[in-house]
Amino acid sequence: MSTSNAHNQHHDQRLDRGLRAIGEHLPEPSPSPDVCARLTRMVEGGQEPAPISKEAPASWGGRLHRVVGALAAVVVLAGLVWMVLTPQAPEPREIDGAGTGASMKLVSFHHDKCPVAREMDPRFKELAGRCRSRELTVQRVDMTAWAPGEARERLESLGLGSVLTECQMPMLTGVVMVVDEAGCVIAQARGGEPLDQVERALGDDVPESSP
Amino acid sequence: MSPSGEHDSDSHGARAGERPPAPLDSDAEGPEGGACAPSSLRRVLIDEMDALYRYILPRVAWDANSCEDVLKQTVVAALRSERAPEDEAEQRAWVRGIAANLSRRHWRDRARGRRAVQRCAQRRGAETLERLESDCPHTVLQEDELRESLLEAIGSLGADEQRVLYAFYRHGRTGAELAREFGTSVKGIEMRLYRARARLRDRLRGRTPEIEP
Repeated sequence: MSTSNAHNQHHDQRLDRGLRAIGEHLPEPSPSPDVCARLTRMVEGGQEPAPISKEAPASWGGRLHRVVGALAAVVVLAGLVWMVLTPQAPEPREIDGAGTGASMKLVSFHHDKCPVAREMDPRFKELAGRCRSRELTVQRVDMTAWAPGEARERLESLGLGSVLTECQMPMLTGVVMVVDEAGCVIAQARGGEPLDQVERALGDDVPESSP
Repeated sequence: MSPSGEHDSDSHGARAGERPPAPLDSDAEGPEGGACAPSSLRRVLIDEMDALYRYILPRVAWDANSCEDVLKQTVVAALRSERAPEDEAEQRAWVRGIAANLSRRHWRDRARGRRAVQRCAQRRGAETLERLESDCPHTVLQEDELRESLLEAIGSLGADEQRVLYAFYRHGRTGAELAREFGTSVKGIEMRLYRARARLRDRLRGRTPEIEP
């Protein structure tokens, strides 16, 4: 081995060691889930892409879009505030879609090697244990053996195809989400994040955890 | 999935001149949207989304909102263009060219652009590398400039290289698992990691971003 190669090998090993040491703290910025979902829908669905820059100079049409968008945001925000302030009154649910319609689902996306998933898993199991006797479909999706590109097909076969448009794929592992009857994700948490939103979405069916 | 390391991602912006990317004015190509975009381009756009984000982020001075704007504009421009190359590897380079052009245009619209981009270009790549290879690599994460320098270098890698780096180092996946996922051997994964590290080192060793405010 030449001196130069040995030198490169030496530096490569040190860089390898450095990256391993940083490990899960290696920063991995990604677009926000809603932007990702919107772009994925646009790309996959072949829908007409609207001009969507927030900052580029806009035509009158663009300005109109923004005004409508701002109004929609206010309405959505008001709706969210209303939802948070209104006492939860859960509707009756069916198990496994039997009866009048599909039930609400509590879904966990697990991967054996994902530290975030490992953190979430026991918390999900504890939550699922509390929900076991209730009318709720609980699913633990183990993605460990999935290959890239298989996710869509597999999720669709599980009836969870819609989550791909609502949650960014690389972030799925370690996520627990509540999917409503229409397939919309109404609450989610990842890793060590608090589960209170998820519990709120599940309504009064979740008993308090024992101290 | 294209094999990693077969194209020089950071030169995509420069190469954009050889094959002009889509016009930047999103109204310029008529009202039809992505309906005519080839399915391979759609696949590439979805596959590249995270990597593109990380490619654009340092080019808009780490402003997440601007980054998402430029990402959206890139996707729209790519879908609307009738000049997308047919080859998948070329499509990846072409999309990055669009992103580079749109990042540049982003700054042309702003008086503060020059200052911010100059700050970007002064990142301490060599020091970042030195710290990464030292006995205390964590110190890279303690200073914004070093952290951003590392991110900038990672963002300039191809999508596959980024994916394999993150899967192995950040998510702790083993070589055997990645070999199954990427449809290659463990040796192949080691080779990809080696190439990704070599390229990362090159980027940190003094390549400044190809940004002209």
